[in-house]
Amino acid sequence: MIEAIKVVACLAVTAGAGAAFLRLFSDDAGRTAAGSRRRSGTATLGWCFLAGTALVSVALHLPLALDGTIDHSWFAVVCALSSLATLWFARVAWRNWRATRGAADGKRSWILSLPVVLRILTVVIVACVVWFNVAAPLTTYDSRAIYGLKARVLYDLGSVRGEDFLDSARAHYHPHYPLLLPLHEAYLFWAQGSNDDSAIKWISAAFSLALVGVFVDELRRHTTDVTAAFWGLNLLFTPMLLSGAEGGGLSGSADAPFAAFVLAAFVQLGRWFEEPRWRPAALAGLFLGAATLTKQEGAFCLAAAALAAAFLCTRQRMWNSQSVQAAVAAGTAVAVCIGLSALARAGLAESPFVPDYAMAFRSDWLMQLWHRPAEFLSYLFSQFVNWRVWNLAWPLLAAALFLRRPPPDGTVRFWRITLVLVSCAYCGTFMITPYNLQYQMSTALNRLAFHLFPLALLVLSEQLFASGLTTRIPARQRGSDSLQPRG
Amino acid sequence: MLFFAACAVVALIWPGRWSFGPLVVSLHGLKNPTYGFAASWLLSYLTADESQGDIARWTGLIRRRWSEWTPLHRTVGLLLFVHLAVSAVTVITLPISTYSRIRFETENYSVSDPLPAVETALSDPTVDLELSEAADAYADPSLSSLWRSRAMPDERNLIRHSHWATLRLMQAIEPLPADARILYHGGPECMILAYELYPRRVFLLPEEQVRLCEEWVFGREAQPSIRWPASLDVPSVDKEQFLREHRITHDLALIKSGSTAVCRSRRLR
Repeated sequence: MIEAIKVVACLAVTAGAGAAFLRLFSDDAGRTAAGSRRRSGTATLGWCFLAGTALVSVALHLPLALDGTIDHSWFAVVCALSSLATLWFARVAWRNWRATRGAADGKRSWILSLPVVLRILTVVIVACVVWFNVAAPLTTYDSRAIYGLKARVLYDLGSVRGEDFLDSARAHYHPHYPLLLPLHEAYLFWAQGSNDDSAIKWISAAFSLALVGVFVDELRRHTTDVTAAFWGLNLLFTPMLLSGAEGGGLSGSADAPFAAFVLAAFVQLGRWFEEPRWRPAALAGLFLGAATLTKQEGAFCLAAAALAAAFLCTRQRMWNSQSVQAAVAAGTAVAVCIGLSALARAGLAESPFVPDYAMAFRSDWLMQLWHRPAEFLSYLFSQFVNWRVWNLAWPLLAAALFLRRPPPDGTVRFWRITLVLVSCAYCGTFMITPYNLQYQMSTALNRLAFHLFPLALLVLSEQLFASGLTTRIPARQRGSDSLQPRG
Repeated sequence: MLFFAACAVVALIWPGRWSFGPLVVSLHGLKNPTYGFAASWLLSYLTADESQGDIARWTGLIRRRWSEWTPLHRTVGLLLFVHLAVSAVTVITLPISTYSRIRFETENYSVSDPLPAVETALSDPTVDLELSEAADAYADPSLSSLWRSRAMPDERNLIRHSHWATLRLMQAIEPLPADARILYHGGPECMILAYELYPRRVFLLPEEQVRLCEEWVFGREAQPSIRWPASLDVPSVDKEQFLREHRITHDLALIKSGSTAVCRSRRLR
């Protein structure tokens, strides 16, 4: 229990650092507009946590990129800096709260917008999440074989230049895997003072809840508070998000963190199309960079976002100095993350269990795969109508996309294009994978779908608003893209 | 509602069959009391005087919308309704599934009760340990039927191949010194073993890695007609040299054969 408290406190400090960063990062226009935005503490907390984890990840990658080692004193430095940032933000927030005490600013938690029954159900869910994290041990394969072992080595030895990462004879699944999650786990091990994994699942839970917060915050810009809260619950009630099974939101795998970073990046880039300033683009770059530090699939999301943004900029004739500035800002953030990751992982052993996908583009391999599309599509259909995993969100999305609606704006077009592009890339990997297709589909399909599910639900809910099934706020009444937390 | 709440408490604390005169109530799990509680709450809400206004407002809204909607809108509306109903079921059953999952994991992932054979395994330099459970997790009666029905296919696969084997192996070799270096022969459970036994190092011979890739990753048995263009060359490594270079102290093997498996441990130095 003490370990859990230490881990949660460390995660809270990380969120505090993110809040301070977002506070400093918001420009004057954002600060002015933030007052008119219907922001919510719990929704903003999601942004703060994601920004904090992205920044802490970059900081933790620094020494590894320089000489391949990280020692406990660096963990202490990162924790001290995060704590200072949190204290600064708390001081500012306290002052602002005292100054505006009693003023009705219309800011309510999204949960408080719900009817009583739904509030009770939300409390039940959060209680179940807490219960599961406290009582159940870490048991999933990936959380132990991929992330856990790396985290223990990084905590104990503080190096990626030892035999654990360099000797291919060592039983170590994929030594070359991105290090964001193992580094965070090692950081939490340092915070709790041991490499006991009983409290590590709190990372997944925190990312899952942050994911819902970001989702609701974005929806509040498109619809009423109640409707946004209702759709937020829709996401929260998804079995995959609440599952402790392999790849689920509470499993300790990297899929929930990855989904959260990807959603945050796409939402920020979508906002850029409404107000083309460099700050949302830079934030999107930071989140996309964090996604590439989390899982290798981040490369697909990065490429899809770049292609979609370039296409829409060209189509809407948005190429000007502002868009170039934004592209440079986003590109710099991404380049920093990718550069650090590449330096940190340079020379690590390639796993024999992870084949080189470049070989899959040879004709003698592709000629053998004629039967795969039918096999894949039938499995895909069976999973997407599996209500025990996704409720009925995917069939609902498929049907809703046929509804008549006014032409979508740049933000929605961007979401849709990226959704299609990343989905195609994921489907393509199943077509050419060297793995046994049945094995690959049964272990990877739902977790890959989980990466895109929040964005798909965003597209679905916006489609229903736009087609008149529920209330929608016109684009011109939406608030600024500032993420400045209250305080 | 109170009755079903009481049933839930009874099912949680004293699960079993309960007789009330001629009436026999089966309270083996929380599922039925929870559904009963939800149904009774819905009934009380729909029949309460204070909720009639809400109900009239909602039915009026739905009727009005229904008449305005096109057939496609109605289809999507119905799908949305089913989606919400399914979501409600998910939430209502969440405490039950959480309870089942926690119970399963704490009962079956615990290594606090070592096998009787462990004593022999520790005192003899070489020992064979029968692991009939390792080959098929579902042969073990301690797995609840609830879990069996809820486990996803990939979980079954993982449990079968890694969890039980790892658990038994850990029980057999837990008291190994912290600086032990183990050469392992077996399946994908080696990765879990490497995590659970840390800081002891687990190694695989290069040919074992290639065999594992063939069997586990590429699934040759399942798709014999498909050949990956990159050849998985087996590096020629002298085993004795490998043992020396990696300073191996223990040799550990999980040999599966049909429905049984044997764990073989050997102290080398």
